[in-house]
This record gives sequence, C-alpha cells and structure tokens, in this order.
Amino acid sequence: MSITSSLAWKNLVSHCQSGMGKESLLNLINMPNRMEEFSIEIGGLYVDFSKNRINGATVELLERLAKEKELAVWIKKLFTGEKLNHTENRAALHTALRSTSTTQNHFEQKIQDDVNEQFSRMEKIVNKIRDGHWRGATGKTIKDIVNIGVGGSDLGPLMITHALQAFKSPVKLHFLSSIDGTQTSNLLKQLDQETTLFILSSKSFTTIDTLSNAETALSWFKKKLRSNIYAQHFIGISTNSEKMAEWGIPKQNQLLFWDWVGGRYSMWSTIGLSIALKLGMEGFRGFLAGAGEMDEHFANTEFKKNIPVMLALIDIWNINFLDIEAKAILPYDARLKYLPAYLSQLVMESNGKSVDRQGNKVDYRTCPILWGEIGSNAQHAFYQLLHQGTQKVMSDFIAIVERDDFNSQLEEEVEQSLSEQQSLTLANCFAQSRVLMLGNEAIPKEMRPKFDDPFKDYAGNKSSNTILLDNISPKSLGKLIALYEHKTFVEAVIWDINPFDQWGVELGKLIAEETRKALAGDIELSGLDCSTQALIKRIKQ
Amino acid sequence: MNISVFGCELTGTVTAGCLAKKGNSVKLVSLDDTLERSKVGINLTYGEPSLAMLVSSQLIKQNLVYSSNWNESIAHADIIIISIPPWFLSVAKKLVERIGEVAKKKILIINQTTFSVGQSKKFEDKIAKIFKERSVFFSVSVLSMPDLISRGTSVEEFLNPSRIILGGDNADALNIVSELMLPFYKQKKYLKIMSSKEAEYTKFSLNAILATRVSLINELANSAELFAIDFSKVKEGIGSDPRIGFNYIDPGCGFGGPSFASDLNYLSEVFEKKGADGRLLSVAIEENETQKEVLFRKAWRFFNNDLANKTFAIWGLSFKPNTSSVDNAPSLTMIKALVAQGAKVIVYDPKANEAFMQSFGDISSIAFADDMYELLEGVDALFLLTEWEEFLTPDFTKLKRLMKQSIIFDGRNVYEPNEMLKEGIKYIGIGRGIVV
Repeated sequence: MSITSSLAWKNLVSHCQSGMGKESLLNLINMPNRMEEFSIEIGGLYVDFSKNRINGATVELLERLAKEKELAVWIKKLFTGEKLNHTENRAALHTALRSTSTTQNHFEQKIQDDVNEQFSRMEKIVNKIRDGHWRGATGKTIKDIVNIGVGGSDLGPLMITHALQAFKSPVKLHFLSSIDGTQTSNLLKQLDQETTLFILSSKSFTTIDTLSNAETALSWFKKKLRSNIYAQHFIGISTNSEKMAEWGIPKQNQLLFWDWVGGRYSMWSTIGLSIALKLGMEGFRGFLAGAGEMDEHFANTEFKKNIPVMLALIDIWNINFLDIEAKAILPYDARLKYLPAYLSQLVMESNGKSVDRQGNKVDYRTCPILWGEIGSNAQHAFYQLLHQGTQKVMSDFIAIVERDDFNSQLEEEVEQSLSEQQSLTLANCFAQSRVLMLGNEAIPKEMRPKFDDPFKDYAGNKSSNTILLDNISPKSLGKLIALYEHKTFVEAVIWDINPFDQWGVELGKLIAEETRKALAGDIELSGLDCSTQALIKRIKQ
Repeated sequence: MNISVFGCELTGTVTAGCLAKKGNSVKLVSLDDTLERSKVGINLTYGEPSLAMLVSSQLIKQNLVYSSNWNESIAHADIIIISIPPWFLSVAKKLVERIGEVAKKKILIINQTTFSVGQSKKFEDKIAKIFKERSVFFSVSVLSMPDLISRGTSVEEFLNPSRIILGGDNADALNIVSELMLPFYKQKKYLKIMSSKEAEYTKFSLNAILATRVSLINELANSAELFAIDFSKVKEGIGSDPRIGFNYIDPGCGFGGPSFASDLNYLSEVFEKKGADGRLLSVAIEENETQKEVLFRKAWRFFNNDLANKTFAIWGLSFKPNTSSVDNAPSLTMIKALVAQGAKVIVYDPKANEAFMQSFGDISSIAFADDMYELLEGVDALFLLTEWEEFLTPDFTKLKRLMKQSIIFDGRNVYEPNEMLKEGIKYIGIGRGIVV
C-alpha cells in the first residue's frame, strides 16, 4: 500500500488544503513561541527551522506519518546492521565507523575488531608519512599526496580537507577524479616523482576513471624512477584486496574497508586517509567523534527534538504537500565550497529513485533537485531565481559563528578588516533568508514607494532553514555531515525507498565500455542510434 | 678593569677566562640568580680545547670568580658583558631591567649576543627609561660586540682574533672597550667600529653567507656524482682561486651548531616579517636540512629500500669535531631516519654520547659504544658523520675483520676512494663520483 493512501498522509493533505498550504510565513513567524518551538541546538550546532510554512499541528501530523512508517524501527535497523540495502543484500553500517561508547554495543564484535584493526594500520601510515619517515624510492620524504578517486572516494575527502585548510600539514594534498586526463597532466607537471605518493581509492578497485588515472601516474613515475615504485609511491584503499594486489599494490600498502560501507559514506572509513593526512589521526578521530555525537542524538532523541528527523519531515512537507521541487545549499563560508557538491551526491544518489522497496512505481515525488554554491557568491548568480523565479525552491543557509582561522600573526589592521568581513558575511546570510521569507514586507516603510514597481516585486513566503555552526572544526563538520546523512535516511524511510543503492549510474558505465569499443573501431557502428553514430563519425574524421 | 660577564655558556666562559688572563678582575655570573654560589660551577663539558685549563688557572689566581648574585655583580662592574644565548632573550630583558633598577653609577654594557638587529639599542633605551623613572641621570651605553668564536677553536680565536666587530655611538664607551680589547686585536686595523645595528647585522650576514656557500657546495657535489666526477678534485681547483679560498667549500652531510641555525632562522623570519626577499636564504636553510639525510638516502638506495633489521655503526655525533655539542647536528636527523625504518644503530663519539642521549628522545633502538672499533662487530655498514681526528686514519684491516659487510658511508669525505678500493672496502662519500 502506498504511503499516499495512509491516514497520516491523508491528514496532511487535508491540513494543507484546509489553509496551511496558503498560510504565509509573515503570519507564522509572528506566532508566539515560534523560536522555542522551531529551533534545536546540540553542542555547537544550532538549527533554526522557523522560516518554514509549518505550525504545531503540521509537526504533529508529520510525526504521525513518521510513526506510521515505523521510523523508530528503521533507525534501530540502521544501527544494528540489518541489510537495509536489500537490492545488494548489504547493511549500511557507516555508523559503526564512528561508534561511541553508547552506540558501539549495537555492532557485532567482528565489525568492531575489523574497524579497529584498519584504523590502527591507517594511523601507522599517517604518522609515518606526516613524520617524514615514509620514503620515496630514492630516499626523500613525501611532500605531495595525490588522492585518485571518484564519487565517494573523492568528494568527501576533498570537501573536508578544503574546509579544514587552516590546519597546517606537513604534506600537500591533491585530488584527481576526472577521467579526461586534463586534471592529471596539469597536476603532474607541478610534482616531483621522488616526493609524491598516490592514494588509489576505489571501493571495487575496478573503477575505470580511477584506474586510467593510476596508469598515467605509473608511467609518469617510470620516467624518473627505476625500482620500488609500487612499494614506495602507491597506497591502495578498497574492499577488494585481491584486485589491489593484482594491480601491484603490496599488502603492507593496502587499507581495507567493507561492502557495508556505501561509497558516499566511505570517508568515515580508511577512504578518509587523505583527511587524516591533512589533520593527523587525532584530527580524523575528532571528525569521527563529531559524527558519533550526531549518531547518538539521532538514535536516542524524541522526534520533535531530533534534528535530522525534524529537518527530514519538514522537507517531506515542503516537497510532497507544498510542491517545492528544488533545494539550495547555501554555505556562507568559502571553506565550505565543496559542501553543495558533496551533498548533491549524498542526497540525490540516495533518494533520486522512483520505485519503492518492493519495486513498485511510486505515486509521489521523492528527492528534489539539490544544488548550491557559496551563498555570498550565489547572491550574484542564481539568487535572482530564488527571489523572483517561477520555480519553488527551499534553502538551507549554513553560517559559521566564529571565524577562528584568522592567522594570529596577521597585522592588527588585516585582522580587523577580516573580522568586519565576517560580520558582513553573516549580515548577508541573515538578510537573504529574511527577504526570502518576508518578500516586500521586509522593505522598510519609508522606502516602499521606491519599490512600487512590478519588476521590484518580492513575493516572499519562501521556506528556509538556517544552520549555525560555532566554528569549522573536525568535530563540527563531522556533526554537520552526519546530520545530512540521517536526514536523507529518514526521507527514504518515509518515501519507502532504498537510499543505499545506486542502480541509476550502472547502465551508463556499461554502455560507455561499448561506446569506447565503437570509437576504437572494434565494433560496428550500425547497431547504434543515428545521433551517437553521427557524433562518433565526427570524432573519427 | 672590573668586569661582570653574565652567562656561563661557552662564549661567556671563554670571554671571562680570556679577560681574566689579561689581568682584569672578572666575575662570571650565573643566569639563575637563586643558585648557590658554590653551584655556579661552570659547565666545562664543552670539550673545548684548553678552556678548562684557562679557567682553572684564573680561578686559582682569583682574577676570575663565580657569582650568582646579580646585584653584587652589577655593582662590581665597570663593564657588564651580556653573553646570554639568543633563545634566552627574556632572561636578558630581566637582567637589563635589574641593571636599570639597582645601578648606582654610569653603565657600560657589551652585548655579545645577537638577539636581533636593534636589540642592543633597545636595551640601552630601556635602562635610560628606568633611570628617568628613578630620577637618576647616569649615562648608559650598550655596545654590540658580536661573538665570532667557533666551537673547537674558541679560546685561540678569542686570544688572537682576525677582527673584532664593535658597534655603538658613544665615543667614550667605544674608547673604553677598544682599550679593554687592545691586548687581543693588537693593531687598529683589526678593530671594525660601526653602529650597534650594523654590528648585529654583520653577524647575521656572516652566517647567512657561510650557510649559503656550504649549501651551494653541497648541491654542486651531489650533482657531480651524476657526471662520475670526484668533487674533491674540483674543490682543489675552486679553492685555489683567491676570490674564493679553501674555507667552507667542503661538501658534507650538513652543518649544525647552536647559533648558526638560530641566526639563519631569525634572519629568514625577520625578512619575511618586513616583507624583504629572503628566498635564497630560506632555500639554503632547507637544503641543509635535506643534506643532513644525504647518507640516509644513499643507504636507502644501496640497500634497495629495506633497512629494517639492519645494524649500522655511527662514528661521530657532535656537530663538528672537538666539541661535545650536538645542537642541530646531522647525527640527530640521520639516526632518527635510520631508526624509523627499523634499523638498529650503534654509535660512538669521543665526547658527545651524553649530549646526544639528552637531545635525541627515545634511544631504545640505539646502543652506545666506548670504543670506535667495538661497535663495528657484525654491522652492515659504517657511517662517518663527524671528522674527529681519531677517525682519520683507522685500522682498516681491523675494521674489515669486524664488519659483516665492509661498507663505509663517509659524510665528511675523509677517506680516498682509490685507497678504499685497494682495501676492498665499498666506499660512498659525498660527491666522490660514485652513484648509488
């Protein structure tokens, strides 16, 4: 039975039709106790979801929907390692990688032991490299680390290491993902074979993008070095030890993770090696601990005070009842530049699905289009559409309370001007969400005549959340990312879909191989459609 | 003259001893003013030739006495000498304040330490300010006379300096100090007078030039190997050019020492702070750090990237011969690198074993030998890091008999490749034409 025929869903439909669907934020925001009711704070992370078109009754009804979908049971299943990824017959146990003393008894001893063993091997490698004792084939210390990976093996580490750029690291990190080779050849020009180490990150160790870049790296090494290239210049991270060995990675340079870690959840595993190289193992453990705190909060908090649950239910309301089709992620801090790209994978690869767990076509909307950009830059780009476009968009504003990365060595004036810039950034963030909410009503009375113009009309009534992080630290980022992971999971539970597979991306890989053969002239073109044939012919001219 | 030398490190001790030898009444004052006088007992473990003799003879004559009483020593002195290591600037500041607070007559200070460019002048201004607050009007002069002695030859160099750099702007003060130092420099042309800032900058510049020169020589020597050239022949050609000379053109496994490194780092940092261009100097410093591991890299390649469970003998720990100091010594870097690869290391140094133990940290993989041959038994290779005299002509027959494999990595190029070949010893020096 589809969720749409459940009582809770029907109640939400009538709640929406009987007025709430037309209710304006201008009214709602002025309700008594609005902030007490619609904000939650846990250790250094404050979420304001008051700028959504909801009231107490909406939340009650959403909570009933969650209960109808047995959300609590599903949360328990997640944490106890049930095979929630039923199409691949796997658990999704990323929470076991960051377990705390209270969550760890959920997980089997074998899993705990495996995790501890790999993390302790990872720690040895991290220390050896950071202390300058990992040597290249000619005996020099390693200065540059190149992570080759794509998707989950790339976006997470890239996002986190960029966000924590203020951490001083003895090694410089680089990320290669693109299959087209431009990125690779540009990077290799800047590096020295003797002092460079590659990390090959691939869950299956068969990803063509990663392996083709790795081959290019290998031949680059062979131009300068004669021996010990694999042993001193490559580390492999995969679930597949045999494939790594086949490629040439010696056992001692292999780090493992397991099929119960989804690619888009893998930075919590040994795939986080590049993060640990940037922060040190202690910093990496802080990152895990931050996520662990969010896990505990998610697993043990009643729904109304549960941040991932509340944000998920509100988005369900926005998407399925208020018909909002897109979500913008708007961090107001350049260090979070890669967060929107990261979340677009997490959210859209998880929930961009149109069949339920039983394989039936769903008759309701699932994942919205999610994109984003650093807020202050996006103000000069797509905010026009947010304010005056015909698409309905909901937004998450993310801002940092304290900038603690200002270099204390800076001259006083520079420090002063940076701190003024920080106020300006926050002012912009708060102003935008206010204008989206209130529209014309945000215009001060004395200025209203100037805005009496159809081109200067602001409809307002646009929903948004604001997330304030005390600072950007391994811990706070761990918390933030785990928040979005669990929110995504809750949405999947309500929509009755499997968020842990990604069959949608498989066919393209298969056809790419066939097309490669066609381009190479190994198979006949006649079997292909006319458009593809024409494209290939142009290339081969 | 009555003189108080504050600071009992090498420079202070040598200065006090030499000034006492010329008949001055010298107090050598501990930086810790709470120390019992009997415990000032000057640290003569520098292993500095003839220093112990000099000091003890002057103590007997009572030209030299120890003190830990700052106020008494300030009152005693016609001239106060600051000889405090540059990393103890806070102690020097404390002393300067004390002088300002307790002085009962005009003050003349010689600052031997180059803390920074302009620090001598700052000391002078500080005392003048305190005098003003006390409403006393004694004159104050702080002259800069940078310490130019080298470890291993410090007494000889103080007694017969090739030049003395003296910086200040008070003519009376300059005259008094010139007079004091005359028995050493003997002829006026060896005394270079300038402002105190210029004197300080001279000291920093000297070390910068020497460091850059050594780093360039090392780079030339390392690269010479690629042409199968023995750089020691090239060195003869270069050094005989009078524009260059033979000093500081020996390639080796990096330089160390306490003030050399701290001076360079200071200069490089201050350049950066002031927005000056100090790229060459930064590279010279960085190259030297890399050079300290040059023998490690050779061994790493020689043993095909596997040093685990090998045993290596090390000759020489001190940063240069005739000193027990291991400050910034290549031995620290080298041995850390070897141990990190799982190698066992046995070391011998005539004087620096103890200093090494204190500086190194975890010494669980290191054994210390009392004899230069004893440690060779069964080792996979020998590394020579300091050119102590006793290492220059070892008994090669004995050496070959003891070692498991007769391989020498020579960080100071003290042996001849041809002779080693005749002896049947695998010899790897620095820039000796042998590529590993």
